Amino acid sequence: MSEKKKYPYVMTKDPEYYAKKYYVKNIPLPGRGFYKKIVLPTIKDYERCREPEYYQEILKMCIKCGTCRYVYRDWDRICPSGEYGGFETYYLGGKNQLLRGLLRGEIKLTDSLVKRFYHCTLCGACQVQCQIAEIHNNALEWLESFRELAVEKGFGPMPRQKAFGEHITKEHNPYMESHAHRLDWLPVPKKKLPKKADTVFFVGCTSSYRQTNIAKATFEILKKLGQNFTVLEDEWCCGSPPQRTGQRKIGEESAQHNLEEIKKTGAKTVVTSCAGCYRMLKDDWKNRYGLKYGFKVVHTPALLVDLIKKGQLKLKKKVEMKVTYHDPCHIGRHMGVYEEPRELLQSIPGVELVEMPRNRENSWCCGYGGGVKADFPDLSLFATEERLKEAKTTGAEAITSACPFCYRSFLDGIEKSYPEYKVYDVVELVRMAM
Amino acid sequence: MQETTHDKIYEILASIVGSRRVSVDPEEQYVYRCSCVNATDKPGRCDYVVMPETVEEVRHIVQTANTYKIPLTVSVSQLNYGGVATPRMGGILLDLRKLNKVLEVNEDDMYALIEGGTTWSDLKGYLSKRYPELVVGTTWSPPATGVVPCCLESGFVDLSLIGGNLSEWINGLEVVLPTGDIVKTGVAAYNGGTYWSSRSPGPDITGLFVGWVGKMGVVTKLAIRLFPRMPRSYFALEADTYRRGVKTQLALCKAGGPFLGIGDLLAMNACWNWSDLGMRPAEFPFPDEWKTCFTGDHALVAEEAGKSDFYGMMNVNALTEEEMDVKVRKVFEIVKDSGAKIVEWEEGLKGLPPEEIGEVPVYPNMPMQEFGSWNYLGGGGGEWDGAFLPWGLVADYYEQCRKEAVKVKKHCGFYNRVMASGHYQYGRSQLWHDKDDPKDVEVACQLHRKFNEICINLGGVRYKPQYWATESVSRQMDGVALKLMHNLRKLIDPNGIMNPGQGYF
Repeated sequence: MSEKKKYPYVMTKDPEYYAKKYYVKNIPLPGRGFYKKIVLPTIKDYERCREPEYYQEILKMCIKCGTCRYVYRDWDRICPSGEYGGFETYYLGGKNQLLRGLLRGEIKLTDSLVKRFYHCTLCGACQVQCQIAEIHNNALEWLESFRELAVEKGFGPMPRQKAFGEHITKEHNPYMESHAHRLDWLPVPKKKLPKKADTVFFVGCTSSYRQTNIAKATFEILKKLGQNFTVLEDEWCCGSPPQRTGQRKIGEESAQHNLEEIKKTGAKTVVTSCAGCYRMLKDDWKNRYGLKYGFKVVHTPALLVDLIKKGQLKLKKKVEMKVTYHDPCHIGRHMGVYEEPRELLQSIPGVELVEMPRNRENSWCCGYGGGVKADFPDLSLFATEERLKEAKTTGAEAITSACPFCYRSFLDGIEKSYPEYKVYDVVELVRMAM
Repeated sequence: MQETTHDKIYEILASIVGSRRVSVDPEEQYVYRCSCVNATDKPGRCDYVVMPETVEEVRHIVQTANTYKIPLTVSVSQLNYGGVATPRMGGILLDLRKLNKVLEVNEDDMYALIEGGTTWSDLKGYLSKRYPELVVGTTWSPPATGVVPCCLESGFVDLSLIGGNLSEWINGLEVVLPTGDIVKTGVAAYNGGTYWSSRSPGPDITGLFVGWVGKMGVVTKLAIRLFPRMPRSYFALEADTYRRGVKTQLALCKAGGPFLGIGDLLAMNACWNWSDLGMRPAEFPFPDEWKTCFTGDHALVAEEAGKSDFYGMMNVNALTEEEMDVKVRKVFEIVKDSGAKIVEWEEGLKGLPPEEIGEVPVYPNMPMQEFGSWNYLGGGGGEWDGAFLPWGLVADYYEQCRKEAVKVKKHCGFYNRVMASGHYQYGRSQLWHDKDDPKDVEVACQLHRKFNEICINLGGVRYKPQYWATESVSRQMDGVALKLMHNLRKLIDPNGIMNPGQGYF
């Protein structure tokens, strides 16, 4: 025994033992899902939402080492754009080199250069993996601001993205649908909606026109709970599709209109079941557009978990189902929301939740975001099928998520390759259990 | 290249791999032009980047290059410090990253058969999920660097005290020769590739492809040795000077090295150690006097401050605690007798402020980006000059390099690793530079040339020399050997298509 005290070494067969023990501290940045997990020195803080030039000093640090291609320390592939595009230029490392080359005048802004930047779902998985502190905390900033630059110079967005941007200006949705039909999904007559309410249910375009099942389920849950809520009479696109594709002006106009509409209701809380809308309202409206508002923005699963904890929501009906949960990028990596949807699923009697190997900040993207679904459908489907394949390895009979974009992706992937598989939004399962 | 020929070559390549896997766009040409890290490397330019997915596709591409006498540069990660995958004469850049499968793991014969573009991440991930009892070791190169280039160019891992450099871990290769023929080496050459358990006892041509910087063919398969995963413990070594530290390493090796359970024995100087912690001069969490090391001789400053310049790391492997006790006791005794000291891993961390403990990176099993240090202190540039050295030259090489660096107010990082039971050493002098500061880049370039001279003059043999350094390395070579190598290269690649402008010939 005395010998052991003399040599108090740790014997381990686990190669990651010391890493796990000493390398675990995550410090969340305010309002973001990205984490500083980098070493002793204090890193320089950079402002967000700035032009690409502003980030030049960080770009210099990238040596295209490829860490961004893998789940750090687990070594699964993580970048849909790179895995599908193949060449280095489709990974973050390659894009960093291209942007640095452009800013230094070594290469020109061309259609083919811009295409490589748009061939990306902006999922942010690469950023999470990079262990250079400044890149780890900022990569999405220049990936997005480059798109704004491309639009400004007349090289962006991609053709279908441009078309939906124009449609948003006219009809306030990216789906080429008429604005007059936006509330067609409503299970009650429009007139019965109150003008003033404590809570606004911000529906979003995808739930309004495509995944109306999610809109209906959310509406019915709020109704059943007796919430004092309403839906905006004149809701426009939240601004996410144009903003993510570099069409900032369109996004900003939509945001300003919606903000005025929300203010008219006097609501203190805005709840949304759309991950894209949630990020826009909570983050971009304030931090990118500088809009000022006093209401709370809540993602539906978080609201429902809160109500369960307070005893105001009781889920009684059994929903016998083994499911896996897919983290939407917009609420996960972009906003740091990982646990509430899981807590909600685990609150449903009969639901067994199993995890995919790549989960939380290491989730593989569904393939919808960043305008990819519109202009790079092959890439989008590749990403979706890869995720569904992973979901099936868990033995779950259905994949769940908390985002109508992810839902749509999975629906398309299931239709094409896995017809026996099922997809649910978490709010649908909650509705079943009520 | 004329426009019509250019179009024709593109069409041929596209017919082999499909149009999505071949690019003539300026974006690929730009990103694949160089490694983006070195000070002394000059960017090249390729005409085509091609990404095959099968050996048959590789064969057709190589045959095309040979028929039309087009330069062919093979790449996996393009992060080699010597700039070995920089396309210096145009032509085809063959990106092997889609050939990334682990084809076989043989648990009894302990080897993995991998494709030519497999990265360390691919292999580590595969083994840890499917064969956790086997390890391939951990390199300090980034996760996306290729296993095959690392093996072919004699890289090393955290089992190198046992297994030597990675070229010694190769059981056999499959190579597409410049003519398009496919050849196997090792025992696989004798059994049609049914097993790959060792080099062959008869004539073995594996060495024809080792160390030739991609000039003899395209390696499409490689069998690499694996080792059992042993329970291990990590210890840090500390000595006041590098010379004393190296003496301690030698004493450990002479006392048995791997027989004492030591799997890895390496060290770095104070400068490298600090930078590996991701530190930048203004951010040192250490006493002020240490900070001056970046404008002076860090070793002297460390000495004056009562700090050490040698920070070693070793792992000790044992099956039981009793066995570990015996081994560790002996290791401690040797280290003490040599005038150095051991800092136990967990004990060493106790000295740090509690709020920083959670963020302290750890050395064992680190991939390159573990420390965030390879951002090169914010300047983005870095380059090293490495050499295989006998024991007697390690400290000399380091001290002479450091002296030159001090003259121009650069800080010289240094790192050494003991190889193959202590039969030889590897040493590396490292400089960091600011990519955007032409003066700093120029100073770094001149210093690297000095480091090269120091190595050659001392009699060390350069490891992964930069393209400009190969000329001086060739001068060092025995004339008859050099002539034979020339002839062999001509025999295998008569049209000189493979990686022209690169390497010794």
